[in-house]
Amino acid sequence: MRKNKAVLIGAGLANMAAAVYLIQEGHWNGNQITFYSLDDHGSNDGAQTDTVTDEYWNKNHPMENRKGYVARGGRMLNYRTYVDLMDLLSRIPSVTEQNMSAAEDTYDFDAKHRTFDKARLLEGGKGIINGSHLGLNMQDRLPLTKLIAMPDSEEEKLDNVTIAQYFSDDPHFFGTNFWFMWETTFAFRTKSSAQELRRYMHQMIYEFTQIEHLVGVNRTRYNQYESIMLPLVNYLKDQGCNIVLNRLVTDWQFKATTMQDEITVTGLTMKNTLTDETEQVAIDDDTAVIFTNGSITDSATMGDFDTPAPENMDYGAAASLWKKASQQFYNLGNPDKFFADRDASEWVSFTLTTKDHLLLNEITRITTQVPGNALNSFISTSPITALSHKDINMSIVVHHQPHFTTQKPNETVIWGYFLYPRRRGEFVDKPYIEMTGKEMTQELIGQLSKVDPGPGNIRDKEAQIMDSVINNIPVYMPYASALFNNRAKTDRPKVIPQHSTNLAFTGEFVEQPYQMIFTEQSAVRSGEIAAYHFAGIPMANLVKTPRYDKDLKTLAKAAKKMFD
Amino acid sequence: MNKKSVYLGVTVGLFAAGILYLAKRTGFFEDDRHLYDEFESH
Ligand SMILES: Cc1cc2nc3c(=O)[nH]c(=O)nc-3n(C[C@H](O)[C@H](O)[C@H](O)COP(=O)(O)OP(=O)(O)OC[C@H]3O[C@@H](n4cnc5c(N)ncnc54)[C@H](O)[C@@H]3O)c2cc1C
Repeated sequence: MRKNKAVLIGAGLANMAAAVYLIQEGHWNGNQITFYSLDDHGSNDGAQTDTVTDEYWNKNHPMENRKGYVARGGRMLNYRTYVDLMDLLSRIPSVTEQNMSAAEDTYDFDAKHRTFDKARLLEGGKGIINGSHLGLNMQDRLPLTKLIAMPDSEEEKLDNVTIAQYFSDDPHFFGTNFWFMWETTFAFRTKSSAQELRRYMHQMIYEFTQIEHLVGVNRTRYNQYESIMLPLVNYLKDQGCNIVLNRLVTDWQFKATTMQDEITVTGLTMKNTLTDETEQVAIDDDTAVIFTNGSITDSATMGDFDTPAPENMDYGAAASLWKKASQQFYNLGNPDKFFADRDASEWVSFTLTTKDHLLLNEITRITTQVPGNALNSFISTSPITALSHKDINMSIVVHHQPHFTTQKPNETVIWGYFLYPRRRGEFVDKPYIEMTGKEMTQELIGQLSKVDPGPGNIRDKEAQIMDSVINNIPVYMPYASALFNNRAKTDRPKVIPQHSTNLAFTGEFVEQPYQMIFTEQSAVRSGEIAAYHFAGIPMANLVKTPRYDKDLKTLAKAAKKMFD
Repeated sequence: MNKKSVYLGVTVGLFAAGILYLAKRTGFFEDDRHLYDEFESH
């Protein structure tokens, strides 16, 4: 239904995209758009630590050491499939490069710093593993091929099927190089949804053939906040949008109707998180409400060099609000599927800042590649999974330096993560989730020492490296992979649910055709759909989605690759 | 027409039918544009 004003709940990438399309394609004025949000970055963060310690999720966990940088995630983009994201970025100016759009900025940087991962997998005693050998056997190839061959219209066949269940007759699959690379490139866990894995096999089929080098991966010049979010924030402010931060939207008022299925928002209740005061916002007939109904960094907490990240048991802030809506209407999905099983979704990441390049140079020597090129994953040397397989202990992303505009030339910032935070370290004998930043650094040096080709060993320089650390911020994200949790198609609301007159859902917990989630691409597209709906723009005008899964050449290459 | 070309014709025909069947089963010809119909503004 066409509207002339919009209230957006959440100021992450999805809703900012919606606002840009409302302005540029719907020809709205910025002042027709108001955001209410806890912050203006969501999952796409990146900042000096001391600038974010007072934010909503952090303020109850005061930190001793606020030095260095933090970004809860490292990012990989993929131009070929991220067509909506690149379209969005082409519409706004970069904040760091003069006379360039944010898209040109990224193209320019990426062209000069092409990804070619030379050490995607490393294993103690063996060093760099040849990842191009996927290690699949006939029993693995068959179910994988079935996933690739399953059309969109039959996706429901994978309702409520986990990846572990889908491959239950084929435990060998989880010990292959293919799985090691796939799980850590995209953050799939064995409990994740097979339905989503099918979507990845379709949308990322192109990457299948080059996963060991990640050559299809594109990166922004700086962290996601400065290269993507800040250009959006600045543009939207310039256009006159009202971005109201430090607001936690806690409840809805809906129009009462006889059939009880018409979804019309008439008001919102929110808390000012600075003053704790409750505020009420009325929603009139001419206003659309665009709601990002889940955030994978909700309830995330930070530690520091000497403190582990505390575990915050809060249900996600966005999901809590989603739950309230879903309790009232039957077609708005099931947030518990995603936010009530931390065992399936949690991970721990860390952002390590050092005052010199010693560690960086050591990693470059061991992995044989320059910073900015890689995602390095360390395979355990003994079985660590329930199926008695080896698996990845930890992964690191060594950014191109500098990764922050304020970073000093002598400083280095490295990001890493543990996909299974309850597993125990090999060099620090405790679960990763209980480790301080210092202990995570020791664990990293330990893992590097196992794959060090010499001469000498990185451990010889451990004291010097530890001395160079300015800070290491562990971040616990209980819902980092929540979007991949096992689900049925009806567990997520559609971007525009049936019977909705003014409410749209955006982000990573919505149902939209074809798109795989955990991508900036799908977040943007959901916002674009919502904007087109409320501005009355035909959906035929949406950015065209390339279908590599229907390209014979790509399919043939993928088939060949399966036999490597 | 000799026997050989009949066999050839049948083989090619069967092969083409097989490919078509496979393409249909795997949604190769599925057009996903209509999937956005439900999001149109009315
Ligand atoms: C560790 C990590 C690694 C990632 N790696 C990649 C990658 O390699 N490639 C890739 O493409 N993508 C990656 N992503 C995903 C990408 O960041 C997300 O797709 C994208 O940020 C989602 O945007 P969003 O707008 O849907 O949600 P978010 O960015 O989460 O924004 C949600 C917003 O809503 C606000 N909010 C929540 N609840 C409320 C409430 N009740 N009231 C008011 N405001 C509220 C939040 O504060 C936030 O501002 C990664 C994410 C993480 C966390």
